[in-house]
Amino acid sequence: MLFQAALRQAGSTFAFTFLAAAVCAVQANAQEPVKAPVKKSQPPSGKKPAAKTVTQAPQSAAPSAGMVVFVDPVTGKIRQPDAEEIGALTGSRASAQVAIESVPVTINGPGGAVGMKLGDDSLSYMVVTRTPDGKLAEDCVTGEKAASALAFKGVMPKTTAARKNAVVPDEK
Amino acid sequence: MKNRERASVICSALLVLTPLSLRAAATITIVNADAAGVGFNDATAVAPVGGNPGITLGQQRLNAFQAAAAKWGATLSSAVNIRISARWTALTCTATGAVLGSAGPTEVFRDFPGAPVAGHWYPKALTNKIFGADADPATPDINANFNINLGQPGCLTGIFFYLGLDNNHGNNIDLVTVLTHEFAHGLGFATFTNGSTGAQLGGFPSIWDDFLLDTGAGLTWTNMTNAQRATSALNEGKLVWNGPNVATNVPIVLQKGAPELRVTSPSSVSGSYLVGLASFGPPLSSPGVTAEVMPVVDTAPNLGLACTALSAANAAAVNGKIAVVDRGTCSFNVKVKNAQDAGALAVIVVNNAAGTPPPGMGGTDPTVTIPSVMVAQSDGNILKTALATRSRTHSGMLATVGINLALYMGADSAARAWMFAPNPFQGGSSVSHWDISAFPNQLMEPAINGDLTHEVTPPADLTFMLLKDIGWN
Repeated sequence: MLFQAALRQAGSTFAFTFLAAAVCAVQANAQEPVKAPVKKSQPPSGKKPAAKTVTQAPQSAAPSAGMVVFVDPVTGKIRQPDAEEIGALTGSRASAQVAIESVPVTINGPGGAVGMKLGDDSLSYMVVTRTPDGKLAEDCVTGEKAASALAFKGVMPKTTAARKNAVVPDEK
Repeated sequence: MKNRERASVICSALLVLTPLSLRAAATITIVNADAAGVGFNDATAVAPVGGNPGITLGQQRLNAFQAAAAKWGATLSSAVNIRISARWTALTCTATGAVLGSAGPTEVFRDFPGAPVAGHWYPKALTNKIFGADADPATPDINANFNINLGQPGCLTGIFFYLGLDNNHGNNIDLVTVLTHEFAHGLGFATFTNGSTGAQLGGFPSIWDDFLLDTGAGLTWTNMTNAQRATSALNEGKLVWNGPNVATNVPIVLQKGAPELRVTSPSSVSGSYLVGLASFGPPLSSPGVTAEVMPVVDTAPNLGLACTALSAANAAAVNGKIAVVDRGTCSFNVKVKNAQDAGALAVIVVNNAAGTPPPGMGGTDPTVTIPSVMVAQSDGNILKTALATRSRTHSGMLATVGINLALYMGADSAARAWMFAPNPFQGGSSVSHWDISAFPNQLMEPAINGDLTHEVTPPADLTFMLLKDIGWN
């Protein structure tokens, strides 16, 4: 199973946060990428060759979209959380993340300019989900919190209105 | 094996790949931030696909990045190299959803030498262009991370990035389109003001905010308070882009003729109302159906569900009129059919759930011959309040349900492109994208539509015109 430590820097100290919840069913070695079998040709329609799964070692750069793992306290094994657990963890984690990243990091620019470093909460994320009718929807959101929530729960808007040509179903 | 390993080592030792400049309006460099054998350095052999000549997975990924970069490089002008730090990482995903990738400017600057507007944030790449040099050479201009596991078991299984350059993506995700969209955000297609709270970054507006106009408030975001901005971010149909380059090109890019409920009297409620369309009945037409508006009332306290044949009083009220009914309890097409049977010429269905824009109405009934639309609950309440002073068969409210040929799809009556501002606020989608009503579909709507091309300029697309408004050329 996959887990990742999220490194946060606050001032001159490092706050090390280890998240104990798992959602991705991607199997990976936490230390090294797994090499795929050699493929001589690519499947049609741009399909990626099979069975190459990668996990990255913790990055020393700015925090990226983090993975979370759930550990069963009885068996000690990593288990799949349900959507509510994911949402709760994502929300609480995101609150901490926002609290830390909300401190602006100001830098000096040329000629007296003032700059500001932007964190993950400013990044635009493209998320793909399966809609109830089995189609794929690709939505752009800002911030890792919104992106993870959408990927986990598969539902972003509280109404179905805010998608192009969205239709509410027959109400019988 | 040895050759592949050697190539992998060489590739991983390089931090900066060959800069890409085609017609050299701007040079955009993809900075490979991947480790050996990973991402752009994946040496897995693949066959060329869709005009992508790469014969390794890593090379095909890079070619796709470079194709998107080339589109922007051939469109923008800058004497300063635009650097995109890119890597492939394990991003959030489940069996039914996945984060495809992310991108954005790394830094913003204000009050740099040559800044067009003082005290306003500009994204780094645009700052560099205007300033004429890299404001922070140690930092790339844009960060981009994409999901290395997409399509693998448990990661939206079986759905991969299409790495062809010809947009022939089929059921897979067209990487070049996604990259073109995300790079636009990195170049500045976004505000850095918090759309949920209205708080400005560091207390200063983004250059974007000067062009974001709330036509209801009559203010740009720069001139609003935090509370006003937070409210404005929910003002679907009233939040527009007020830049000259976009305004000039709305008539060129967007289709003329938009669905509309237009109330012409009384003046207190006159105007254009957003509508959701019906899946049944005839399509809206031009000039549409114009008639007096009368509500159905059959359920306390003041609802008109129209789930059964209308009473004599209700039938008399809506005969020859546009009937107003309420969503709920029964199918939309049942309500419309009952109104039709009573002689109504068209039907307005008032949503029973808060939020904008109003959704479309599902349902099937080939015997429905009158047009119908849904309006937002808030708009329905406005109309019902005005209808409260009616007589048993007359209200004095006149409206048209149809296609307004004077409107462009995705723009207001002054041909100003709408920005996406639904209620409730959609974190990260709201404010920084075109409205979903735009047609033809635009690259920078909040969702990627399957018929998008890779174009960013008129006559196909308005994206570059917006970037011109904030300072690019």
